[in-house]
Amino acid sequence: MTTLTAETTKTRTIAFIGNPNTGKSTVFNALCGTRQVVGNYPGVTVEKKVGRIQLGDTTGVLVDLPGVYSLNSLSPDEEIAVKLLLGMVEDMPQPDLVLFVLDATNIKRNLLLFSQVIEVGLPIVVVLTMTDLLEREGIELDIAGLQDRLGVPIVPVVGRNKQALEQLRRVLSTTMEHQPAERLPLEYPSSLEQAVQALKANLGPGDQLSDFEIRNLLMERSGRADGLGPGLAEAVEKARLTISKDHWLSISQEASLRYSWADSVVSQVEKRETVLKRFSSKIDRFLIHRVYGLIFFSVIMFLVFQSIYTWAVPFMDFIDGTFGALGEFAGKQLENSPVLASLVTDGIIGGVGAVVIFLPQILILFVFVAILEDSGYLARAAFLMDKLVSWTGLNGRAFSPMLSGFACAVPAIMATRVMPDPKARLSTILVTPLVSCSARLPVYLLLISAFIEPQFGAGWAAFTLFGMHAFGLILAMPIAWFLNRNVLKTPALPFVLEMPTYRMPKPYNVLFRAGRAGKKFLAQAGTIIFACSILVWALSYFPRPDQLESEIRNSYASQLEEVGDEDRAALEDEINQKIAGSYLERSYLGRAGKVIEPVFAPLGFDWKISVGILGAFPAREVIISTLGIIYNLGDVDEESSALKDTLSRETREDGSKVFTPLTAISLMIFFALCSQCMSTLATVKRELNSWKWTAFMFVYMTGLAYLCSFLVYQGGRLLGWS
Amino acid sequence: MTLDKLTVGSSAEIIGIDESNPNLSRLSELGMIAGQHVKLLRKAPLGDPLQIRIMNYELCLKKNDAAGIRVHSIEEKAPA
Repeated sequence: MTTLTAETTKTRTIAFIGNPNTGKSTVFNALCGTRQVVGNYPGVTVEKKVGRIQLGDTTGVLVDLPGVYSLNSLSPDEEIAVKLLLGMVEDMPQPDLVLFVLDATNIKRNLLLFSQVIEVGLPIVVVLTMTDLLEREGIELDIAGLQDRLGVPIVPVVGRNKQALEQLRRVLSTTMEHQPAERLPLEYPSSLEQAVQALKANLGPGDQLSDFEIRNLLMERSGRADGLGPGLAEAVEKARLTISKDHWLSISQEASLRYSWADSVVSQVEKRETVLKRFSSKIDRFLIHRVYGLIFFSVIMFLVFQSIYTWAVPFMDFIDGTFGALGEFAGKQLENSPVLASLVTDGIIGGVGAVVIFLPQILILFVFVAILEDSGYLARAAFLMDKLVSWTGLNGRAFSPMLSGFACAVPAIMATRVMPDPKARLSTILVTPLVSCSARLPVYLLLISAFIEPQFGAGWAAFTLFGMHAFGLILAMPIAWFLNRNVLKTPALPFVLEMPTYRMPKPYNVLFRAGRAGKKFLAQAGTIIFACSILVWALSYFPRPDQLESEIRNSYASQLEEVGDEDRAALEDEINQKIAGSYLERSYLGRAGKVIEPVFAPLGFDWKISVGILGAFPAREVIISTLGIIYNLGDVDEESSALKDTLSRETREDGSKVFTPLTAISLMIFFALCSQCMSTLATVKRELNSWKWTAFMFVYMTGLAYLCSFLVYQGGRLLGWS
Repeated sequence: MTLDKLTVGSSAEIIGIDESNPNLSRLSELGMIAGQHVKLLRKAPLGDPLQIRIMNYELCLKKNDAAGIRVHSIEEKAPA
């Protein structure tokens, strides 16, 4: 009896569908606010957004379907949309109602999808967007007339207008209990129509099939292809015999048929003035001009890149400082149990801090992405850049995410969500981490200032730094080409790109998207990275025999007695660093470095560099602090002259230098290409929803790094550079 | 004539499309069907893709796909 409250609230599922660029997500966010959950559909990379709205005593579960132009299942997005409408997605009931978003400035094209959705046989409510742009576009629209002709209620909604949203909620809850919308007067070929009716007459009492499904079954289009009961399968076979394949509708014939209906509707409800110069065309004359357009694109990209690079710094420093202080505080509290203290400060707080530090960059990039996309510019950028990358099988949409990879691969990979074609998106994600991110910069700076600048001068140093940055991007192109040709064999979707009219991005939407991206990043990347941090910490901490520390202390005992007070602190530091270095050398990670040394020897690396590389797999910039520990220098950064000096003095057993300019370049190339970033791998796993591709990325990047370093080092030696 | 051969700024009427190209059935759903008017607005800086106006909205498509769309040029009375 106590569970009554749960049963008295009814739950109804509403499918939210419409063309891309119709302002669909604005309406979705306005209706659901933060009451929404974002995930993936099982087995595919299509984003699944579900929100809740209160409709009187009914809870509406609003399922946001991907933006599609048609239901003919040519793309994974469309397939999911069809399956959802038919109730064929795991854990998702068939919707009770469809909310269809219709762009008032683009009615005719939107009506193609509408005419398909209505055949699914569910009640429909239309939300009419962009009515505020009608005047600018010179359109006069008879909304009441349109409502009559479509036979479904239409509610215009502009932005987050409260009254309009309230009206929409009211209409949704009243229409919920209505009969499905009447069918539209589409003129199908009579033989097809007869077959549909014949099959309908043969359906058993339990078989509920809409005209949409029946037509798809007859023409062997997608839909409920399997899972038909034996009786139904037989009836379909029989009905199929009554029409010859010649009478099947091709997709383009179907489009003609639907558009001739749409034409008849539009001609009665819409008047278009001749607009001599359209608003968007005026802007486009500059923004996609062959000269000014490219300049503008470069400026925009520079601005995005620069802001991720520089604006984020104070926030990142703040996060770094906070986590540092937190670690120090925790270290003091746990002073009595050194293992726990190290776990909490170095493992947990250090590891989590290494993730959270990317947050400012993600938020800044997503504010930009949202503004560029919502304003309509992103489509223009793709148009400008397409040819430059299309030979690789990537398309123009890949360009902006890849460029933002210069700041950080994590937000760059998340930014590929603007790509509707999953295959193009996959190949873009796979090559984006090759672009030189800002975490590689400290490594380059250290090695260049230690080995290139002193020998070759500042000019070559700057050139090397530039070359390292260009290297990844240049190499990404042929690799994308290779992947697209040999690994990702499924054909790409055709590259068609709608150029939406320019409009002002809505601040709420922009902030909402940035916030959601940040939340998603923290929640999911955090869990994997958290686990990996603890693992790497444990490998570099254990085993920890106590006598090692006492042995080292004993060996310094006589010195400690002799040293004056003023030098005592320095000597203490030296001893502590020596202890840390010795422990690291004997730890599992240190031993692994020695075991793996022969593997890295052909690249010119000794065991210490090998340990540095192993320790840098979670995050590449970690190599600097690892080398600091290993060379007994304590805390160091890339500016540290102690580390530079030590590195350049370091010799092998035979007395030759470990580090030569050639080793330095070999090491930089290794860092340029190797997959050394847990956050990136965690993001790839989440975005692609696949361990297989994540593992593939790790293996191919690391293999490529090894190969290129090997070629550079051995080639260099052959040329006598050593 | 095919759509890719149109001069920039001129309009044409679509006569038919190459049904064997699956990309084009997708384009037909976007409005590329016989009888519709189409205007070639511009080409991208490197010549591909093309930006067109059809059914009162704007679309970009590859030159290759445009080559499968048969059109005949029309005198423009008013901007499409």
